Amino acid sequence: MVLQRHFLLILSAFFLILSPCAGQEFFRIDNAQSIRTTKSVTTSHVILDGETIGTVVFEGPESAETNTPVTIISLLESNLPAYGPPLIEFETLAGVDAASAFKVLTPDLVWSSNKPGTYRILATAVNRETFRIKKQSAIITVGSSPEPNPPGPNDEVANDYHVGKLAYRIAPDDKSNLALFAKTYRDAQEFLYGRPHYKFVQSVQGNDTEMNVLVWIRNRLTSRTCRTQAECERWNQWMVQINAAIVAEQKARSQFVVTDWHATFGEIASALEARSK
Amino acid sequence: MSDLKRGVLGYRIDLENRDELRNSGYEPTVLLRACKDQLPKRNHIGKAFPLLKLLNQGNQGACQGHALALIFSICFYLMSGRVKNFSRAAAYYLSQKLDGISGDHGSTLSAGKKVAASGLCLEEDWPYPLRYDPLRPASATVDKFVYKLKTTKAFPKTEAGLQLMMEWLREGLPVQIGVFWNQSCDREVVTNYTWSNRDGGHSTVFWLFANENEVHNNNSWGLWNQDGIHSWTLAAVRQAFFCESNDFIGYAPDGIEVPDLDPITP
Repeated sequence: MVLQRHFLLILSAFFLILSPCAGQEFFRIDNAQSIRTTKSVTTSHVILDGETIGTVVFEGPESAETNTPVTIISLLESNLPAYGPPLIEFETLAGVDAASAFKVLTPDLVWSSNKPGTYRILATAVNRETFRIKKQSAIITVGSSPEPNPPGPNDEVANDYHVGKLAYRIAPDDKSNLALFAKTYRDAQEFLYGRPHYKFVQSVQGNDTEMNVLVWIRNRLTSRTCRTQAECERWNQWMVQINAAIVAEQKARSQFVVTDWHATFGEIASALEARSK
Repeated sequence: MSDLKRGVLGYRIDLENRDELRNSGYEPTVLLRACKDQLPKRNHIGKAFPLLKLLNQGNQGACQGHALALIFSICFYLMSGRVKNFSRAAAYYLSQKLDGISGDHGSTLSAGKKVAASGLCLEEDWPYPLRYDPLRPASATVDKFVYKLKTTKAFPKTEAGLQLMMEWLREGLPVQIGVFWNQSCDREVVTNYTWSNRDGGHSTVFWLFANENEVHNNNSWGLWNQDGIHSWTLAAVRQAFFCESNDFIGYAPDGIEVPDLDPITP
C-alpha cells in the first residue's frame, strides 16, 4: 500500500532595508521596508508499509516582491550609562496599550511593527545613583495612518501636540460654535500669560473656580447653543476626545509646562480657525 | 529684635551677609536673558493674589521665609501654570539654621538664597505652625526638598542695576526685597521712601505692577491693606533701591528643579 502525504509550504524571504528616522537617548527609531516574496513548495513522501521510500519536491515560481513599511525600535543601552535599562511601553495617542502592535525581534532590545497607525513610545529609566526617573517619548507613524483624511487643509494644521489635526477632523460643521470654541482656546492662551489677568491650570487652593483656565474653558464651551441635539452631542464628543488627547500628550512628555499648555491651546484654536474657513 | 514690631517684621538686616548676597550666584543679566529666550512675553500688570495664597506670618519673625515661599510659588507657577504652596516654615527655620540664629529672631536674605539653591519642600509637608517651632516634622522627609531655584546676585546698586531690576519686573518676574521698614512703607501707595536705622528690617516680594508707574509689593501680613498688597511708585522704589542697607534679589523660573508633573485631566 502506498500512501502519499503532501506538504505545502509557503516560503517567505524577508529583508529589511533600514533608514534612520529619529535619534533618542534611550531608543532609536528606524523606518524600514520589509520586502517579501513567496513561492509554494510541495513535498510528497512515498510510503510503503510504513517506510518512506521516496520524496518528491515540487517548487512553484517565486512571487513578485511586496513592500511593507516597518518601523524598528531599538534600545540604546550604552548611551546613558548612568541609567538602568529603560522600560519601553507602546500606546496609542489616546493612551491605550498598543503592545500587541509591536513584535519582539530581540527580547527587551528590538521591536518592530508593520501595523498601520500612530503610536507613542514611552521609555522610563532610573538613574543608578540619584534614583531620579528620566522619561522619554516619541510619536511614530507606522505605514499609512488608518485615520481618514479630513476635508480641507488638514495637512497644514499644526499637530506638534497631537491635538490640532484631531480638533480639525472631528469638529462638526457648525460655524458659530467653531468660532466660539476657537476664541475660547485663544483666550485661554492669553490667560496663561496674564492677559488680561493670570489664570492657572491647577491649584492646591481649589480647582473649581474661574481662576482655573481649564474650568473656565469647560464653562465657556458647555454654555454653547446648538442648532440640533445631534450637533450638540458631536461637540460633546469633540471635547471628550480632545481632552483625552491632551492627557495622552501630557503623559508622553516628561514635563508638561505652561508653554506646553499655551501651545496646546494654540494648536486647537488654529485648527478650529482653519476649519471654520 | 525689640524694634521689629510693626506688622511683624523679621528681616535681620543687621546680620545680613552682604558679600554673600551681592557676589554669589548668577549674574541677573544671565538669568534674565535666559527667561527672555525661553519664556514668552507676559503681562506684568496684575495682582499676585487671589491667584496665590494670601500669606500671613502671624506673630513670628518669618517675613523672609514667607517672601521666599512666595517666590517659589510664583516661579513654579510661571514655569508650570500650576499653583502650589511652598513651606513658609521650612523657608524660615532653615534660613535661621544657616544664619546661626536661634529663637524667633528673624533671618537673612543671603540664608534664604542658600535654601532656594539647596531645596525647599511644600507647605503640606512642613506646615506653618501657630507658634515658633523650628523642629522639622516627620512629614518633611529629606526627599521632599526637591524644589530648587537658581539664585542670582543682588541687583547692583547702580543706575544700570536699577534699570535691570525694572526690566526684570516688566518681564513678569519676582524680586525679593529686604528693606528697612518704616512709616512710609505702611501707606497704601508708597510715594516717598525714607529710612531710619531705628526701623526694623522687613522682607516682601515685588511682583507685577498696579500700573506702569506703580509696583505691587506683596506683604505677609494677611489681610493688611485689605489684600496684603500695596503699591510703590517708581520714585519710592528708586529711593529704597539706592539705600545702602536695602537689597533686592531677582528670582526666575529658569533652571527651576521640580519633580515630574502629574497629568491634569481637563
